[in-house]
Amino acid sequence: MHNVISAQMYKCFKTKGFYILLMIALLSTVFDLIKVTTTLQSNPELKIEGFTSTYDALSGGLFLLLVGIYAALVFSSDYTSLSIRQIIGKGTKRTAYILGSLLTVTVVSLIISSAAYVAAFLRGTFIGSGTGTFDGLMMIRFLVVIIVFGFMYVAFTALIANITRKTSLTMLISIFTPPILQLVAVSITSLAKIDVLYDPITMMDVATSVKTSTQDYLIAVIIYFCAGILLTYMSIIVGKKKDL
Amino acid sequence: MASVLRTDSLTKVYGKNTVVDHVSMNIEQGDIYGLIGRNGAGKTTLMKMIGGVAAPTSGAYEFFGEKDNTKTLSRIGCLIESPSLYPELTVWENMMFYNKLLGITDKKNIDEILDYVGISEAKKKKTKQLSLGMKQRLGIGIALIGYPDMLILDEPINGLDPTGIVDIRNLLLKLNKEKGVTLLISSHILGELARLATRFGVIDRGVLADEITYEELLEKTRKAVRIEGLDPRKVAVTLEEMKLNDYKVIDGGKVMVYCDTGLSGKINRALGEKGMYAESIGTVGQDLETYFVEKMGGGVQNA
Repeated sequence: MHNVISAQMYKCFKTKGFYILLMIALLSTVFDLIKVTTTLQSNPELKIEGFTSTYDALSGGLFLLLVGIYAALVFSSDYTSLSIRQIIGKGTKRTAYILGSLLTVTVVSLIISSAAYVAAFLRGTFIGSGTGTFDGLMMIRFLVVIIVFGFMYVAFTALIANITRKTSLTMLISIFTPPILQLVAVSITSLAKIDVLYDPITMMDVATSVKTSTQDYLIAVIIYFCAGILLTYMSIIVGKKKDL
Repeated sequence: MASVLRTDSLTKVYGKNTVVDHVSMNIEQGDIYGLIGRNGAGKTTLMKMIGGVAAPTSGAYEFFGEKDNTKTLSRIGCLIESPSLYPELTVWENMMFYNKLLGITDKKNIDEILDYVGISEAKKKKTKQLSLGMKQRLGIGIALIGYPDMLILDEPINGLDPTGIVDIRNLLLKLNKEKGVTLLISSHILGELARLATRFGVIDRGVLADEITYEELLEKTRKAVRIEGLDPRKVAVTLEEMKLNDYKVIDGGKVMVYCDTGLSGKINRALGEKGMYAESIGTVGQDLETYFVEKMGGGVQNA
């Protein structure tokens, strides 16, 4: 699996797509910072403090979009270019290929989306009216959620890529599934008159809120992690069953 | 010779369609095994199974006498259908990707292989800028990473122009002779395969219809005039006088004269002038195309 990770990392860093997405993430961060600075100047009474309190304003949607696009590009490119045949033909086990690629994409997606939490850190700690504080524990909580959520999301995209083997279709499904699920959850809650139904995005909001209890936070993390494992397993099963 | 690949009743069924039907074959070290068959005969599916990218429905195969193929696949290089390249990466980077995949840390082999397959000048070019011939060379180059003992090449000359075909043929012959690489090559282009292979497997509707060595093929497709019912010694004298020295006596008195079959009439007359009248005189030997087409049930492309 080490060789798969090494090869996939090499490919990622040599591909234009990675740098384009990183650039988008960095640009959005710059715009974000400018927006906050302008808001603070026009509303001097507004206080934005610490790391976590700034997360709400950050674009979780952008994170999803970037991870989705990136994972779709990486996974489906091996299938659409038929490189997967060469990879497996070189003696790489399919499980090692899927797990290695999954880990690579998770790590690289985190690098891309790191712009978002760098922005949160900078904004909360240094720009936030000079009163910002660095909340280490909350930052770790935040990062863990991002990692397990990223893992689950990438595993989902890997499964879709394994099934469809088409880049554009994989991208569309992986990008639109979370908002659609959120829409469905909201519709059900309003129709069935229940308090809340957790879809992946709502659960993300809950897990990254400072008001959430440690127990609820841990439940969210465990659910994300288990879902990621299940999706990875399904991806391996589908990958093994399908001829290349 | 040691066996490199042995398949045992390898079968692949898609739905109700049996694409490969109980194929058992044996490829020995140093062979250039030409798998010939018309389009859709099952060549690619057979190669996909052997290359580990498609699971057999039944049957088994082994490389180097080892049943666990995950251990031996690293000694095999595959090029199934078209070369699988990352278009955004350069030639060198594509090679480096597979180097890393095999855990090879030394980068020298990349330049060596690129030089060997004749595309070292293009190593900085993105693969999307390459011609089909260069892509095929790079595909073979990628298959050569790790210096495999056997190459499985599915239609490696498909779509190439005549110069490209000659280049790839020479490259494959060089690999076989200089590096001792055993080759399994499929093609539906009969003439080209006949120039390369030392053994042939004819596949028709998923069934391995025939296996034949190059020498056997030559023998079967060699044109001759067959003379029956005469004393072979007397016939030989006449043939020598006609300067037809390539002949042999088979099956208790039949004389096979290997020459232009158009000479049968002339031979008959020469024998008649000496008072020798054969029971039968006729021509034998199919041409290469007819031989294979017969085995395949028609539909082969000659080139």
